[in-house]
Amino acid sequence: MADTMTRREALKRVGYGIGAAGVSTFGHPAVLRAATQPMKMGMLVSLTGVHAIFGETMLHCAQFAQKEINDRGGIEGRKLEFLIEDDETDPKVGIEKARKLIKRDQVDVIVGSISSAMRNAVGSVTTKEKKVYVYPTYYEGGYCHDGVFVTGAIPNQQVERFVPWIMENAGKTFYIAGSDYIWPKETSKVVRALVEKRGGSILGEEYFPWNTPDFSSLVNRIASAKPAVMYSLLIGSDSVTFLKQFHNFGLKKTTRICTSGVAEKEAAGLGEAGIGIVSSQSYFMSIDTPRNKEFVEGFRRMFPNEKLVDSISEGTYNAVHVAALALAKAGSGDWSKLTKAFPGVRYKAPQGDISMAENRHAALNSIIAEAYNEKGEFRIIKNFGVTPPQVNCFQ
Amino acid sequence: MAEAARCLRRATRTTSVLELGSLLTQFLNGATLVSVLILISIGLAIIFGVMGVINLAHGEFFILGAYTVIAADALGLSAWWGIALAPLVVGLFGALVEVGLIRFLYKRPLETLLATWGLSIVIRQLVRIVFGVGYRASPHPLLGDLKVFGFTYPIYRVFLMAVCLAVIVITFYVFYRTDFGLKIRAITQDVEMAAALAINTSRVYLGTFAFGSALAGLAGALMTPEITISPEAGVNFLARSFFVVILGGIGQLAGVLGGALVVGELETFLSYLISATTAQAAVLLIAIVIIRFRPRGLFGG
Amino acid sequence: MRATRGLPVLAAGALITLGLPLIAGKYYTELLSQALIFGIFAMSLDLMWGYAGVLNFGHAAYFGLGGYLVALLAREVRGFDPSYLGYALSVLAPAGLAGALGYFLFYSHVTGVYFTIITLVVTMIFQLIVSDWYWLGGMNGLLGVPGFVLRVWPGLGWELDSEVEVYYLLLSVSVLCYLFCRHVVRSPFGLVMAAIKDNPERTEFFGYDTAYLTTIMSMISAGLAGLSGALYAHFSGFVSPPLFGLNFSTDVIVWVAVGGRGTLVGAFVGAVLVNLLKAIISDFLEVLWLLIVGAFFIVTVFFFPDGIVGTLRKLRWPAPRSLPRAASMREGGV
Repeated sequence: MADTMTRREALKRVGYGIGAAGVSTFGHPAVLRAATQPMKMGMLVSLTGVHAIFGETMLHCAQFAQKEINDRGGIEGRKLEFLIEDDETDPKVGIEKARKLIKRDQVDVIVGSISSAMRNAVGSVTTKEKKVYVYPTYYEGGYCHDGVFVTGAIPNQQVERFVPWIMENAGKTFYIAGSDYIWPKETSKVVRALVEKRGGSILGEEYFPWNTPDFSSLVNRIASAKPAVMYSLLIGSDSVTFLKQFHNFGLKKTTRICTSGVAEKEAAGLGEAGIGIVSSQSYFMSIDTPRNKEFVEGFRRMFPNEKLVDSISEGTYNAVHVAALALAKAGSGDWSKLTKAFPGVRYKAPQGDISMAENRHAALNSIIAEAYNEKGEFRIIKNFGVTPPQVNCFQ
Repeated sequence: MAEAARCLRRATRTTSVLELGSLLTQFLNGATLVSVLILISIGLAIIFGVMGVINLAHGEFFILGAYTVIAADALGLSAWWGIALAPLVVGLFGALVEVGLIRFLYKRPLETLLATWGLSIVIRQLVRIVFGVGYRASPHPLLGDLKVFGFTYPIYRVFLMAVCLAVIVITFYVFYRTDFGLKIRAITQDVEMAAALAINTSRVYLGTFAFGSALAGLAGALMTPEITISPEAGVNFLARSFFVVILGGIGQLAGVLGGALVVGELETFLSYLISATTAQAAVLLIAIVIIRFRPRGLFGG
Repeated sequence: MRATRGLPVLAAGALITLGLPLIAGKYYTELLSQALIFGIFAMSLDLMWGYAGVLNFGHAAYFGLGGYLVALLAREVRGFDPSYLGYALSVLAPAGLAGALGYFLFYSHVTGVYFTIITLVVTMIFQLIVSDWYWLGGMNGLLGVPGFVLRVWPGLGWELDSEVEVYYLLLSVSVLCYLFCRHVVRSPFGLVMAAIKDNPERTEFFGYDTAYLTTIMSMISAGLAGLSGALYAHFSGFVSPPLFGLNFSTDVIVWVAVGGRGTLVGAFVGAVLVNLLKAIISDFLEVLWLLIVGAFFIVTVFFFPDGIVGTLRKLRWPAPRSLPRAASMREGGV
């Protein structure tokens, strides 16, 4: 409930902000008005529906970033104002809300979304309306449209350093299972190429529809194939269901679970079944640097009920900061100036230093970590540092 | 073409996998899914068959059972306590829903559909407010394998099947050997006649709804260690269990068993031959064809 | 009598709907346009649910099919503008599907709840196929559906790119669809449908082929739903698997129930009202709005079982009345 209160207060503050801006339009010369008007950013997150699990923390991280920016005096002296919309985990609604943010609220930048479908939905609106959109979630890569920037990891950043490590430390025989859509299939291409180049083998590769209630057949096939590594590309609740059943069948003793689709939130849903899972992400909450400590502590001060921050939430936090830096560089929300301002932006993120590349994606850190308790917390195994994004545009 | 090639690959692989042990495992996997489907559907079927109420909040009743285990864990009680408490808690909740909502809509079956849909939203949001939006987990109550003649299978799954069997036996006993069951069957056949024979229909309805809800709660509690627990998880099971009920035939307890058997075993078996997604679609298609030729369900009159 | 009494209401309604975009602003005009598309969709469901007494729980299958056909044509066809072909296909294909389903189900007397659940399964199958098949875009959906173009001749036409133009286009399409539906339910065919709804056995006894007629009605309903899906694809520029979703199927049932089933106008009123209300409430209560929507819905079922339009009509004409039934009584009753 405390969360709701703070959110409502935040909303109220936004409301007053609009009121104040409205009042100030009278009696000030136009130039001065432009300087005091807030910069508007639209937050489009899933607050209801299946992705609310991630959406709530995404929003909170963004609000924390907003507070940091405004405490430091805003963007070039202008306050950063948020307009928050719930996409209800439904692309139909995502399109409607993106249009609302642009056409009614006149935001300069939209930040948010989790699924690729939602990104396509929102991106189709922002590209047409010539507004900048920053997508903070790890995804399959290849989405190249003017004005769409990505602060989440793409397969080469999650997998390139991870697979060689797995083959050295866990074994050379792999079994791949994923959700039946594009991110797992694109990621598995990269995994397969790396494994086969290094003399390993893929014993099986399977994809499952959403909301599969029982994975025991898959578990049995894995048991009889006896791979050293189970590379899971299942997503969200399917990932949790599968890994619980994998654990219940007692297979974790013989087969190591490696994944790029499990982070703190999923691990918390696994409880004891999550212990020992090795994951590759661009951020983990337990990164032991002063910058990350400052981030986690500040975030928890603002939202005491939030327990876990994952790479999607940190990506959202970075997205707000990167967008603010680009806005400052461009001096306004003007589309052509702003899209040119993004490449080259550098930011000292909680995960480490990141920067926006020319291909509209971010150079991010590649980190692998192991879940070590039933609360969903990870222990860092290795931080490989920054990996530049390799993008082949196909979307 | 790619699909055909995949089929062929799987088929050739299957022959090598089909030894006795793995055949048994395969059967047990299917049996687990069937048990789960039965556990979830049986409450729905009872409410559906006796009261004519399509309970769209059944998935949420299921998930309330799971959250009872989570709550018990938070209070320091073991998962067994949670599993024992879940039918009571959810049954009581069901009784409250019946008295406060369903009771007023007996004569309007489609309205109950809409009202329970509204109820499902309200329950989801309340669960979210109380337990938070994230995935939850509780310690596994019975981890380990059952070993018989060198053949191993997770003991909790065997336990699940045993409970399912017990639930079936109890339900059949209640329906066919008790006074309450007699009244239920009388009402199912002819409400007005039953009322004329001085059967207190509203009390029987209350009992039926509470019993059906309790079974949903029990199913949710039992499934806690095997599935994802989140406020949204109930919906996943709703459509499938409706389908089981329809396929089996409304008002037929045995129909639930038959429907679950067809859907569960077919899906498990087909997923060995073709991709899981295609298998799911195929099962649904096959079931539609079955209903075409047996419009009142497999076990319907 | 009735026509003259309804006239002021009609005039006021026409004034409001025509004048709205002048005061609503870009976003709300667009929201209204979307609500109109959903209104057509809801009306198509009402044809089946309100006038044939058969509830389709997977009505979104037809909507999604229409939308996907348009999106696929836009992607695959080069060299000529496929928009009218798209509309034609998006009406014919869902109608064909409904015909096949009707042949399969109504002819073997699968009706009532059985039919309801099977339609739910049909839409689930569609969702599975669309999500699984990459050629259909998979989970990511299909992008880049062009906006509305009023083509009069190859190479000659208007692109409707402002929100207001799109609104007036959709408003006129909606009115046409409404008039078409009204014609259907008031025609002799519609009257027999009303009789089937009231008492299928007796109607069959009178020599009507009820399965055939119900199938025809469901084809009309599906064609209209497909058209609304096609309009939606052009309107939003993007289609994705949730168009086939259970949620969307439930949404449309809710719109019809709130507006009043068996009234046609009610479907529109419900779609517009629920969508506007949602947009407004979710502005203030980010998470709790769903709770409000759920509660609002239970309250509607309890206190306005006839929906908004149905309740209003009851207030005006105390005797329970629906158009076809009143008409059928004039004809001497069935």
